[in-house]
Amino acid sequence: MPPALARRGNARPLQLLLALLLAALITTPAQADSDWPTKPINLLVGFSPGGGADTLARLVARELQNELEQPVVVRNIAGGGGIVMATSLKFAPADGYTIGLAANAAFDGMPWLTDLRYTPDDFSYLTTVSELQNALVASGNAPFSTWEEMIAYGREHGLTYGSISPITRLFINMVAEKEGIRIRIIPMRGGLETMNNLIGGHIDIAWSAGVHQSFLGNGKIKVIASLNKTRLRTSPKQPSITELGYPVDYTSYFMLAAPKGIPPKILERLSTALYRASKAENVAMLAEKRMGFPNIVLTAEELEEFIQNGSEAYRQAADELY
Amino acid sequence: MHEILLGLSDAFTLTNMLYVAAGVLIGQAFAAAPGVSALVALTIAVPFTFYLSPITAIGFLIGINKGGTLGGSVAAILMNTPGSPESTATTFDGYPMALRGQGLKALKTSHVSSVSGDAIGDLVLFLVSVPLAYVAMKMGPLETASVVLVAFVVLGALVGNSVLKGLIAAAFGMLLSMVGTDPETAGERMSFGIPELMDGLSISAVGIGILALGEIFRQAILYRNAMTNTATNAGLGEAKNNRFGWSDFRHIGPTILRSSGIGVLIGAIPGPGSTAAAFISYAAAKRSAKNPDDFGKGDIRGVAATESANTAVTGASFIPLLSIGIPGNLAAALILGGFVIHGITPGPQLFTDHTRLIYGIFGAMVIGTLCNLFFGLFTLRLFAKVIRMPLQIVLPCVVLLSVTGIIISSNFFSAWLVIGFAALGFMMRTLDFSFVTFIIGFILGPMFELNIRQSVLLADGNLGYLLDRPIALAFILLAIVLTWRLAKNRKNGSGVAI
Repeated sequence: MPPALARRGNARPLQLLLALLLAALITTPAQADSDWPTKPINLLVGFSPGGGADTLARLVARELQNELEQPVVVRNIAGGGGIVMATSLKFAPADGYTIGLAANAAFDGMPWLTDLRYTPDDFSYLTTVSELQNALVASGNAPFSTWEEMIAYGREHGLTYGSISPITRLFINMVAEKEGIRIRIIPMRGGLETMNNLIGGHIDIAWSAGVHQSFLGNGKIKVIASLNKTRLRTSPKQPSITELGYPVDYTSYFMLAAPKGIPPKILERLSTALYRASKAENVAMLAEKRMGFPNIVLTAEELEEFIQNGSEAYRQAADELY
Repeated sequence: MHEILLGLSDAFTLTNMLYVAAGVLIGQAFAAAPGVSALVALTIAVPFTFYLSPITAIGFLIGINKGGTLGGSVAAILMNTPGSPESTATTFDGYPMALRGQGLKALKTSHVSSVSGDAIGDLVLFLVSVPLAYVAMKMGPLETASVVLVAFVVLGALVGNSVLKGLIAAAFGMLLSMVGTDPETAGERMSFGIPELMDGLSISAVGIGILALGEIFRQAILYRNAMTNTATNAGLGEAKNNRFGWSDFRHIGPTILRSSGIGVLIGAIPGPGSTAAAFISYAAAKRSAKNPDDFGKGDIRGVAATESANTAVTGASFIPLLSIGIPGNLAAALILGGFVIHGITPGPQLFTDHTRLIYGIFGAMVIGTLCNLFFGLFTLRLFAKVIRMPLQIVLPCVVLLSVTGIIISSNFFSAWLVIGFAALGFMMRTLDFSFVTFIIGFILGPMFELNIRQSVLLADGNLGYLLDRPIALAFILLAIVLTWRLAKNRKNGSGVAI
């Protein structure tokens, strides 16, 4: 030890202590990258509580908690099919402590369809959790069971359609125009509310992202068509929208994103931990067995590419529209 | 059946029982302490339940709610100052009893009546809510909207001193509930470009601000003006005057049954709540007594009537909450906030999708009632000693808890909201606008709005849609009749002021 420092230390222990504290303060931010996470992670969920996405998010949160050894706090910020959550996420600090779960449409599609405060480039994309099972559904008691019967019924009586986001509106408006039917769009706040309204006979048809599957067993809900690229696992007899001659499909994922600008080391750890959490046995079990959602987990790179492609497709669709 | 057993076994775990027991004690203490009520405890507790499992969290809140109906009688009986509003009518006969040396007997009466009323309220809830939920499944947008309309009318007419002011407060609450995102177009509205406002004003922030801090501001100012704590403690009295035996129980038995019935009915109607139930059943007990002149001079039945009625409300207020998703009173509305934090939307689908949770909640209610029965044996005497705790100790603790709670459950922005709403709550109290109708308006607003918009779209400009819906039509007619009847009652001066 240099004599000067030793002497000063002996003379003024308080000052040395202060100097040490100051040094500790200065070095803390530099250590933050490797220490992360040192406090609870916030997981924002872009859906109302109780539905499929919410359940899945809470399970991922539990697994992530095991991976990172920090509590993961789930917050529901419902509205606009995930855009309220995405807006909150954009304004959250890019420190790895706030991540968000929504369907990809909130990130790659919605910015082109409504006036929003974010673009697809404002986020880092982390991983997917499962593939949505998008379907056009009707009540088990509906007087039609196939796409053709539905169109025929619609031409005669018109249809009411439960919609949970602008993209589901976009889809049904396209159908209405192509088939020449009058379809009235009834706003719904979440999947479960939509199913209640179908079963109660208050609306004719609705978009479901998969929550309908638990009502297939008792026949309360029936699927008219798959809105994914391929037929749905749980309804293999119903045609997909591409088979019906439409040039679109709505294959989509529940996925996780974070605000752009997270230090690369943290981002790496975060996406690895999330990838593992999303593939965890419990998550896969719940997704596949109970909810009927294929547990397809894309890596951060694969997801980035999927979002880029989707964003480009929606941008073009929006250009044609407006 | 399997799910029912699972649910009950969820409830009867050690952790749960401890949390429910803690809730009951906290509720009793807050209700007994002057200046704060169990409602304040509830508003503060909701954010803290964030980290608990759903059943534990709800059990804890139910415990507070149940405990809160018991503690309020202590100050009412011994000091002629109700510990919480629903015990106001307990002072009528409880204090005279205490003055003539029967304070402990009055406390015992209130204990027995509270626990009996509680058990009856729970029983009705268990029996009624399951079948009611199946009926509620049939309720579409228009039906739901019309039920909310009835709730608003009842509320506007019964709560507060002026129907007009009550409705203004409800409308203002609804207006503020619309801050955030439009449910149809997903466009932003009334958020002034503040991202924190995009998902609306948080129910905890509004609740804590208006209910807890608003009241504390008022209490603090009253205290500075030395207007509270002037009542003298009448004491418990000597043992020989305070025996409470089987003959006493038989004497008040019919009163307890009638009052619990009234409490259950009022609890099941969205709006009025336990204070109204207490007054109404006090009046009913007095009317049906052979010697009504004894009431107000220390009749044991007076205490029994109010205390059993205000407790029976607790269980019953869960009937509309669980089966339709509409809270029966303010306490139930705050517990609704607890459900939402844990990702559960109360409503008919709870009974099909969350059977286990429902029976877990029922189990927690039974535990809560038993805790009230057991703890009451000791705590009432204990509170009798400590209720003179000075406000300058009570109030700062509550402020600290309130602000900490809101920062934990949301963010610093909400802490500013709490302060803003505390100022609003204080102004509403001084200007005599009902904060109860305001909060219910705020909570039911989004539901009312979305269901009305759905109904308008479904009706498609066709009045036939309304005529095809008998349930909705009945509720709308009921709302009209109630508006007319209640306004008339008001003029005759027989309305219930809360």
